[in-house]
Amino acid sequence: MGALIEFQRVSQFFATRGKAPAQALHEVSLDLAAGEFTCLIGPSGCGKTTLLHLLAGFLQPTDGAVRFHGEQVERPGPERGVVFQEYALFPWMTARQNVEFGLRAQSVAAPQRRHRALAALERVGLAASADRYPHELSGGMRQRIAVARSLVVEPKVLLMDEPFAAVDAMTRAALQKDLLRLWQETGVSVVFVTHNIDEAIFLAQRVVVMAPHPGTISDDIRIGLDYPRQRGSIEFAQHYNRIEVALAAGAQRQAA
Amino acid sequence: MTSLTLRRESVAEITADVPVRGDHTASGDAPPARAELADRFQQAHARSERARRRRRLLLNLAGIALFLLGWEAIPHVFSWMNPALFPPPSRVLQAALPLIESGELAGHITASLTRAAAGFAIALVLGITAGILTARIAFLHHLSEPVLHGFRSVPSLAVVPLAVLWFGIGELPKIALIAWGAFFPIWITTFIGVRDTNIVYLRSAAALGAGRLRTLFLVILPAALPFILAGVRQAIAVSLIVLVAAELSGSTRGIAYMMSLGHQLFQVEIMFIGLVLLGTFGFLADRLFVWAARRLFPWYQSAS
Repeated sequence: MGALIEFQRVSQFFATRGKAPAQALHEVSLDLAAGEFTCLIGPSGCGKTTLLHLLAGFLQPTDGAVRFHGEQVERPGPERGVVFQEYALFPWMTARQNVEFGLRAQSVAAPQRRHRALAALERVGLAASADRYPHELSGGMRQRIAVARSLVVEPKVLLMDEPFAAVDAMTRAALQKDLLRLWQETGVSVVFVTHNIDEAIFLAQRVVVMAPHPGTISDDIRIGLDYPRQRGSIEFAQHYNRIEVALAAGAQRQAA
Repeated sequence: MTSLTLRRESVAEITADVPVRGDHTASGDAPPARAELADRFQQAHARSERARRRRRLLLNLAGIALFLLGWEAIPHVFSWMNPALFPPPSRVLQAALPLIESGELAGHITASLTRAAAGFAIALVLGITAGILTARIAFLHHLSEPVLHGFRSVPSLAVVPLAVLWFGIGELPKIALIAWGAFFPIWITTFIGVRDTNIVYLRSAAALGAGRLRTLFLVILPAALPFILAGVRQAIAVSLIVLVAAELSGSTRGIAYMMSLGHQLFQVEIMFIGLVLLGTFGFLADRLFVWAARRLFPWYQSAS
């Protein structure tokens, strides 16, 4: 019984307009356990989103392997839910229809679909907004619905690509608490990409620090603090320092 | 401006009743007072909306009346104008009445509208299908690209004589010509809309486990809809243009035929009837389009 998610010496190149292709990842290896909450943190260009897209199945690695449950990831699938930074809700569907989409893809009967979608909306506190269109909702509400839409198909892992980057600070704090509650309730694994140190320490059991050009892992930090975490605590500050140092070291390597 | 004053009136109406709420809070049941206030607001809002709509309709009608009056006045103001060449609406109406009574006009209208609708419907189905296929299947796109774009550049009016030569003057060439003209705007906009579907939507659908067909009907087509609608609107206008050209090139029924008849008989009134009808059709078709788009796609108006 291995890890739920395995990256084995993954390298990723992208074609550019010039002659030399750009390297986003260089021989990255990483194992993630089931039920674990992991944050990938690093500056832009460190390949954290690429890593997430590989796991989602949007990309195929140039070299190395990405395994999920021991099987090579070849395409996107409902066992790996994705929450994007931009609101990827379908604007032509109401909140409930958006949440029902994944169930529709599995040909779940309409009454049951409706029931499960409403339950999922209930869970994120938005049952009252079920029949509203995304443009009628605030950014925070939309992102809650996006989470409900991913969770309703009961994925094994939730892949989140800077999901709270576009909302204001107060909404962001509320969304973080909500996410922790959902994670504890459902037992889903979470891989969460962010460039915000505070967010990483508040949420994750494990913070993977990445360095750019090409993307590599520069540190792998376990955060053993109890939930809910106190942002003002000394331990919080110590973790903050360690991650900051790791990020700075990565930036230095790039300069050298 | 007018809507602003209207708003203020309705607000004044509500605030005038505020003491009622004061009474309720005093007796300790605030919630019903709030509900009542909301109710009152809703009613005032609905009233002002209705008034706004009524005013708009009235102004629309007034505009038409003003136009007709001006037109009627022209021969009286400019005495050098020949009313036989530029007949006022009263003369046009006089010429139209016998045509309406005999049912001749209705026959022409039916003939023209049937042609335009048939050609447009064919273009709609073929245009959207071709747009989806060429946008989703690179092989088909590259294969059809040069020829389709080449044909697109040929103004459909240029094909009219050829169509008459090939198919004679029956219904088929006219419908085919309209379909031909209306096909290209629908095809090209569908193609662009489908090709440019936001990748985040496609990825969301894939990550939620949707297959090809579900992705097409639940994601790609709705996402491309704003583009498709723009093409459809243009195609409606093109249909009417080609309709006239096709009917002028040889037919025994239809509005443009009626107009060419009026030309030969030197009855300018009849030509004017045709112009008024074509203008009305264009206007009604466009209104119908806007209404249908709003009814069918409630999310579209405010989301974009």
